[in-house]
Amino acid sequence: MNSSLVQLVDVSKTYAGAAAVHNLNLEIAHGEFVAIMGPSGCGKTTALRMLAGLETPTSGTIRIDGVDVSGRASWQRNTPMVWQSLALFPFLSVAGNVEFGLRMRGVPKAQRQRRVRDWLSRLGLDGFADRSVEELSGGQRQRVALARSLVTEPPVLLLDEPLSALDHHLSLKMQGELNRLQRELGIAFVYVTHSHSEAFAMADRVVIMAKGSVEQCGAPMDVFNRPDSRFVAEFLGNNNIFRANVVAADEVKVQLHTENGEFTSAPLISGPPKVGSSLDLVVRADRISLTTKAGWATNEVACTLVSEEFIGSTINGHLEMAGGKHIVVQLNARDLEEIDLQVGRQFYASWHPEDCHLVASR
Amino acid sequence: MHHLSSAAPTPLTEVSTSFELKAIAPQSSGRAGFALTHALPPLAWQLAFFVGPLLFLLVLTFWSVHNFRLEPAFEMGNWKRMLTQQHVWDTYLRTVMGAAVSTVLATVLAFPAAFAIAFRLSENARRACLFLLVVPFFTSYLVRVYSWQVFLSDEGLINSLLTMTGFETRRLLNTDLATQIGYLTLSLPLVVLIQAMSLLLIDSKLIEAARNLGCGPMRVVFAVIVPAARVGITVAALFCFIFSFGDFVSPLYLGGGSSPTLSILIVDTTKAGQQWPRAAVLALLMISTLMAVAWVMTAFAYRKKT
Amino acid sequence: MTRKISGVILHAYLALVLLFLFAPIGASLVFSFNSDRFPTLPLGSFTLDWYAAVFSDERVLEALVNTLIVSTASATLATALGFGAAYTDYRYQFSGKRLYLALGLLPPTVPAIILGLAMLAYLSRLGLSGSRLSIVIAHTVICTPFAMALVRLRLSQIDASLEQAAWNLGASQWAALRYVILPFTASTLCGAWLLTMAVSFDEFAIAWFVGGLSETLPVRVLGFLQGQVSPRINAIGTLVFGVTTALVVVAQLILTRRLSLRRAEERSTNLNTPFSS
Repeated sequence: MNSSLVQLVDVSKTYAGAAAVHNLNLEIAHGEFVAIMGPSGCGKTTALRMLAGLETPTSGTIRIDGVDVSGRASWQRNTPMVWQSLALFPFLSVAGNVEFGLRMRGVPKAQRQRRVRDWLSRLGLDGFADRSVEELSGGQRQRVALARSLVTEPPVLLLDEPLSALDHHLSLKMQGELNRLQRELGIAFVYVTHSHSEAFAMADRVVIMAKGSVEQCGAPMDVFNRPDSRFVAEFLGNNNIFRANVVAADEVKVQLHTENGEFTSAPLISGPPKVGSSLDLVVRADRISLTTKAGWATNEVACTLVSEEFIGSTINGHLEMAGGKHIVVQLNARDLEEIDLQVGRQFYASWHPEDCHLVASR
Repeated sequence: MHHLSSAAPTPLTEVSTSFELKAIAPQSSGRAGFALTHALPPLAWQLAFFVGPLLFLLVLTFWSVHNFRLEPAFEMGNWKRMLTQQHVWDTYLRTVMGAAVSTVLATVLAFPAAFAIAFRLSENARRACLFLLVVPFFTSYLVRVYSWQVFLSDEGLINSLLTMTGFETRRLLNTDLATQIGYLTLSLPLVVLIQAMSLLLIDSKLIEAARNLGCGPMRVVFAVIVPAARVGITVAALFCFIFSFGDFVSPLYLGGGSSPTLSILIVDTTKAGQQWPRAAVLALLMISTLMAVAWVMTAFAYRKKT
Repeated sequence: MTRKISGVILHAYLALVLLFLFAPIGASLVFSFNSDRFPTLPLGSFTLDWYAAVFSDERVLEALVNTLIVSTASATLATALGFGAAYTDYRYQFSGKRLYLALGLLPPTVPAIILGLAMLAYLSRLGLSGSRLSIVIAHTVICTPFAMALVRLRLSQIDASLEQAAWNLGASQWAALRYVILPFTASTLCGAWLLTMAVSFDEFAIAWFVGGLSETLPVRVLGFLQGQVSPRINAIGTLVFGVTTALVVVAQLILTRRLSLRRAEERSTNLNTPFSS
């Protein structure tokens, strides 16, 4: 028996001939924090809404706890969602909002009140029960929305970019609290976001979607270290991508020809690629070192500093290679002690074969 | 900033079972029932009691009346009779002219008032004015028409004032002027309202731009404001035409009824003559005229700028 | 012409227009208390005779009862049907929707006399003519568009995710309607009810055609108009005007008060900037 809580099997959703979601396959385990990311229009929100029962899949199956819920309306599942706009009912008090789900399910009043009090207390909203929703601050309203969704103790909580409208400071605080809450409760969270940092900070597993299907999924560290397609590499940012042709390949290393030089890379996970095939070589910006003298590492390119971006503890340097292509190198404060970054200066950008990898050209 | 309290969480297993998902009922029919309960009754009602009667009107024109009884038939007699009579066409033309005059009058007379409301009043005054205009739109047209008799009759207020100030009395009632006053009483509130709304919707930047380019105030009005509000002005005029064309109260009680309008003719044919099929012919004549006018005017209102 | 002068002229003109619209009522009001039979200046003495005559006229009282029954029934039906149509427009997309909406909104554009004749013929063919029921049927047709427009306007002000959130939390469609949509539209429904009642209260042409012997108050007034000149018309006219104006004013107050309340709601629940403390 499969231990996963939620299964989307070949789920598709088309609107007037255009597919918002196409053959989506995704499994979510009990207690797992899954973040779904992707550019706008990739289908992540549609997928979430199908889980919630607010959209019906055109084809495919959705199972929760083994039960096929694809045809069920939203009110017949227990998949509450935390909305981007929070969607709190303005004509109900805080308690009225939080108890709503229980009330709809016919839970008797005394029990409802007890549960509401418990949850308000757990989320730090003691004594707020009779307050009007309009009086609350943004952070407090977030918690009411959370309490409202959690009071029915769902097996999985859906969140639709809940922090996207908050300012940076508040967002960071709420991220920590959401994380803690999820660990305490041990229920699955499905969290849709367009922010890399949110996803990587909180999730056990990250799912990157594009054009209605999954591009890549895995633990944040794995995805970050090894994007397995050009799209994901570009989406995550801070990656340099070279078009390469395979010159020679064996179990240990691959020799590549690019228009910026001959490079060596670690082999593909699936084994040595065919000689002559076209692949993309991905090098992360923080894996590249800048030196004034050549010969520091196997892969090396001569370039000129064009501009730099100061991002706090790191600096992004943009350098131009022969032929006009740009490369991004991320340096930290310590590196800068040994290097003097001046626009127009010549450097050698270099990296070891194990610090880059190949992905299939798509 | 609150932190989540570290109270021990209620064990989840105890409660999850109380929320077993309800047994599946056929989903689509339940949801369809909800939708149809809202969508169907209004549709059914309007089809049965709005479209139905109007379609029946068409059918009715082919029926005949024998011995005061309505009999289904298919004959052209009613059409021939009504459409070949000179007095019917005279009446028709008179009605069209009267409505056209009323439309022009109302549109022109309403504009300065709408302009004042949109551009010269404070927010509060404007709301009060619009509020005041809605009232006559919804109330007592009959009473207001009758009250004009109070003003216009030979012994009425205006003539009393004239005699008191030494002028001659004039015949005001039972004239075309009186009819027009009645039409104005009917349509002016709505025309002012619609014009004012559409003036309020004009992008103020447009007007500023015109002023910046050196247009004098009158030029701004005619070259910028009127064209920008063209749709609203035309829609208001269309409503005015429809109301005036179909009204029988003003021409009858203020105009004197001696030069009848199409609507009066319909009333007479129905009530006095009990000739419903013939009245139906006149009604269809009215409907087709209105549809033609509506088509022309909306085409004018919505035409693209050349 | 300076702006100031044109401003004064425009204000004066506006006042004149309002005077034109309200003066007849004012005159009617004044002369309803005037002892003279004919409305001339100078005024006679103050009297309540005409009101007494109106209230003791049996046909008037009967007409009043009919009007109350008819307008209440029409308003209730029209508001219910109007809500259904508005909610359908708000929530669903379907082919032929434009036709559906047109059917709902067209009646006020058809002259009353045409509708009156058409309904008279149609209803009498069905054996439904000549009673209060006929008037209710007809008035519902012309009142529904007003209710529909008002409710639709209010529905467009709801955050769409509220109803969806209710479903998501376990409310069936009916429950969501009851616990989310209705609280939102309650006052609009009240306002629409009052407004449609005023429309029906005041409608004379269709009622005259289809009502037969069941006269409504405006039909009675029409009867008076056709008879001799009598100041009783002033009295009854003032009364009718008073009632319908009261209905319209209260309706407007309810409807526009909601508008400002809604702006306050919007400001605080506008969660694009939830950090509003």
